[in-house]
Amino acid sequence: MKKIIVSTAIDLTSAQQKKIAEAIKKKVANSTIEFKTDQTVIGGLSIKIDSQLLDGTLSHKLDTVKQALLQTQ
Amino acid sequence: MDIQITQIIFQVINFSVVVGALSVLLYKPVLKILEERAAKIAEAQKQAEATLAQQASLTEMKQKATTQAKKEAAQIVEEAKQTAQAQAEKIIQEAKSKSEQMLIQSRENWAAEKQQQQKALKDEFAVSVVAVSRKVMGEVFDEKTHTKLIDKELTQLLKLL
Repeated sequence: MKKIIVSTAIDLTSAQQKKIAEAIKKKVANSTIEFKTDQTVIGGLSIKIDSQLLDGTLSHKLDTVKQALLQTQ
Repeated sequence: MDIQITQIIFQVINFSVVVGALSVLLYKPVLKILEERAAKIAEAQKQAEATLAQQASLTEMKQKATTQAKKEAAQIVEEAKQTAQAQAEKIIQEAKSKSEQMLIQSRENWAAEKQQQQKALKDEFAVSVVAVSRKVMGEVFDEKTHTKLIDKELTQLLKLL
């Protein structure tokens, strides 16, 4: 059974959690989903499936922008 | 006064004897001495002339040698002058070249430092912009915006599964 952790910046309501869980389970069967609140993500969400991380957070996007700015001359 | 011929003849003979004796005993030796003296004088004069000629020759040689020495000295001085001038020019040229190289090097160093500082400023700016963005986003997003973001990202992430 796969363990899935969903992180968001705000506390999700039950309805929101249910909606997200259903959407994920359509793609990943046989899994347990846990919801975490982490303000450092700023916005959006990240989905961690066992050791695989799908990062859709604003924090990650800002990090990408920062790296791109640092690499340009 | 009676002039007697015998006395005259006697006187003549007497005179002749005296003249003869004087000629042999005095005149010829004295003449010989005078001739010897004249010869010596001529010889001495000849030697003196030879010496004078030799002296003139030596003086001329000395003059030539002095002129030659002066000429050579002037040449040596001129050569030394030219050598010194060439050396001075070489030193000046080398110093000029070295200072030009130093100028180029310092310009390159300055340009590199400027570039480095500009990059550091840009990096600092990028970090600051992202930090400010984080702070602003964290503070201005309402629940509606959060929900919108979550839905949008969820759709994108599910495409990856």
